[in-house]
Amino acid sequence: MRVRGVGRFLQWRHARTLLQIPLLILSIVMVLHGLFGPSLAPKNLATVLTWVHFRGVLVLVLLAAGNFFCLACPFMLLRNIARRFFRPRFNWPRALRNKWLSVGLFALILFIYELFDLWSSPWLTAWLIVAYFVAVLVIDGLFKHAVFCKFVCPIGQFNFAASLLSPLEVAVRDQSVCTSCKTKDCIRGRRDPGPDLVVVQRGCELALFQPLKVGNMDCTFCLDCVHACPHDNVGLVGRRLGDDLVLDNQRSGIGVFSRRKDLAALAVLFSFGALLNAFGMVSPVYAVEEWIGRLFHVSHEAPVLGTLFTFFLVIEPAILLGLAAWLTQKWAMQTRLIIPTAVRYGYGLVPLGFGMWLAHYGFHFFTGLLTFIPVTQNAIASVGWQFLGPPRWTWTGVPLQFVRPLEMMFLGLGLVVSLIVTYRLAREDSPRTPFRAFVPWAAVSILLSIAALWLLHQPMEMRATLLGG
Amino acid sequence: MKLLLFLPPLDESLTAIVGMRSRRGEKRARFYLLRQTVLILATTVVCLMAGCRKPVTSSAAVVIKSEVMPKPLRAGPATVALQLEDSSGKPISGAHVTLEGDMFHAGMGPVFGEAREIGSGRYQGDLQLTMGGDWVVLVHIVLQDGQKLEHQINVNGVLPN
Repeated sequence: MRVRGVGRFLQWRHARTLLQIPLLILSIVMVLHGLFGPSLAPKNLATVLTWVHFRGVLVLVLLAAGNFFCLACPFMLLRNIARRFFRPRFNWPRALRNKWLSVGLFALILFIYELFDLWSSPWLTAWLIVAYFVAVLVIDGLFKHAVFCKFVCPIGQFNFAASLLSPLEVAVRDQSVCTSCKTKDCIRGRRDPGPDLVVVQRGCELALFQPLKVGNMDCTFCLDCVHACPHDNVGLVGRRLGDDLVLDNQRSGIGVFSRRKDLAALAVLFSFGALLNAFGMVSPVYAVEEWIGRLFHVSHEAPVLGTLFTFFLVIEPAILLGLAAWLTQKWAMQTRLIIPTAVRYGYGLVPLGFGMWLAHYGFHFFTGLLTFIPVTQNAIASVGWQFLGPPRWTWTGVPLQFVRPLEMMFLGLGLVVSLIVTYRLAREDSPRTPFRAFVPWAAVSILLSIAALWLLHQPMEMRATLLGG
Repeated sequence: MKLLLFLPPLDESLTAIVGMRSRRGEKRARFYLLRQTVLILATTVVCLMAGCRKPVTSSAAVVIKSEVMPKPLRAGPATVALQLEDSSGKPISGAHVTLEGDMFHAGMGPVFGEAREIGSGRYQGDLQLTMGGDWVVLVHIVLQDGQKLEHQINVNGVLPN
C-alpha cells in the first residue's frame, strides 16, 4: 500500500467499485454473446473469455500477487447494489459454517464442466454465469455478512486455496497499534458519530479480525479492513512462501488448520482436482471411459464420469494419504492418529496442485492469448460496427514450443515447493526424526508429479462427443 | 452517456449531480445514479440483441454433399471433398470455396484452406488438423451470382497423431 500510485489507488474507498464495474459490464456482454452469439466456442466471447482468459489470468495473478479477482468480483458489485434496497435478515445456519458445502460445489462444477462440456458451449457457459449472479443475490440477499464468499462460492474456494501461496497478504503493519485500538473498526466497521451510528465503512464481512488474522484463507482482498482502520495500520504485505500452509496457530475466523477437516478436504480437492481436470482433455481418458462403460454396461456419460470422479477425488486420495499417514505414524513414531496426520500433511500437496493448475490453465491462456481479438472484432461487426476491421482469425497466441517449457517450469516449481512445505511440516511435528515423517509424503508428491508429467505429455484430444453420444 | 466518462468518488458525484447535502438527498441521488446505470446497461442489451442474429447459413436451392478424408481421421492433413448441386441436381460450377477448421474448445486457433474446383460442381481442398478431438469444418461458399452460403461439417473423433 506504500507503493506510489497503486497504493494510493487501493486506499481509495471506491477502488473496488471501479475495478468491479468493467468486469460487471464484461460479464453482461459475455452472457449476451453466449446466449445470442455464435454457437461455436472459439468464436464466442462467453467461452473464450471464461475458459481461456479468465482462468489463465486468475492463476497468474494469484501466483504473482494475490486474490485480486475476489477484490474485483462483479457478482459482489451487484450484491452490494441490491443490499442498498434489500437488507438480509437471517444468519447463516451454524451447521453450514464450514467448507463442506463449498467443497461439494467445487467438485460439482468440475463434474458438470466435464459432463456438459462447458468449454464447448457458449450457451451453457452464459447460463452458468447467470446462475452465479442469481445464487449470489439469493444467498447474500437472505443471509447477513459475506456468507456466499466464505461458505458457498466455488471460485472463491479455489482462490483461497491458491492464495495460500500468493506473495501478498492483507495484514496489520504494527501489532502494538492494534493492541491500543479501542474501536476495532477493522471488524466492527466505522460508524457515523451521530445518534444513528450508521456504518459509513463496513468491517470485515468474513469475520477475519486483523490483529489475529493469519494468512489468506477466507480473505477476499476486499480491503474493507484497510478502509475502516482509523490508524492506517492495515495493508498488503509480503510474506514468506509456504508459511500459510505450515503455521498451525489459531487463526481469526478460521481456527487451527490441522483441526479443520473441511479445509484439508478443500486442499485435497484442489490438488487432485488439478490432475483430474487436465486428464479430461487427453486421449487416454476416452479409452478409460469406454472401458468403464463396458464394465458397468452403461452408455450414458454421467455414471462413467461419476465413477472417474469418485476414484480420483475420493478413493485415490484416501489410499495415498491414508498410506502416507500410516507410514508417518509408524516410522516417525508420531502419536497423532491417521486422519489428523493426513489433514496436517495434506496441505503440503497444495503447491503441486497449484503448479498443475498453472500448467493447464497457462497452456490454454498462452496458446489462445490473442483469440479474444478476432472474437471481439466479429462480435462488434455482427452489430454493424466495422471500426475494428475484419476479424483476424489467424491471431492465436504463443507457439506451443514456447509454452511447453513454461508448463514444465510450473509443475517443477509446484513439486519443489510441495517438498519444502512438507519438510517444514515434518520438522515441526517430528523434530527428532523429520526425515522419516517427510519421506512418505514426499513419495506422494513425487508420484503425483510423475502422473502430472505423464499427463502433460499425452496427446490432447478434446472431444465434445463421448460414448457414441 | 456523460456518466460513462465520469467516474468520481460516489459521494462526491452524488452531491454534484443532485446539489443536495442531506442524507435524504444522498439516497435520492444514489437511486438516480442506479437508474442511469440500469438505463445504460439496458441500452447496451438492446443493441447487442438487435445485432446478434445468426446469419442465414444455408439455402434450400443449393444441395451440398461433403466428405472429409482419410478414414479414420488423424491429426495432420485432411482432405475435404464437396459437391454442389442445385435443387434439380445440376452441378454448380465457378463457386469460390474456402475452408475453415475449428475445434470445439475455445482458444484453439482455426485452420484455413481453399478448395479448388476439380470437376463440374466438385471441389476439393486440404486442412491441417492440428490435434485430435472433435472438429467442425466450416465451408464458406460464394456462388457466381454473389450469394453467400456457409455449410458446417462436424468431424468427430479425430485421432491424435
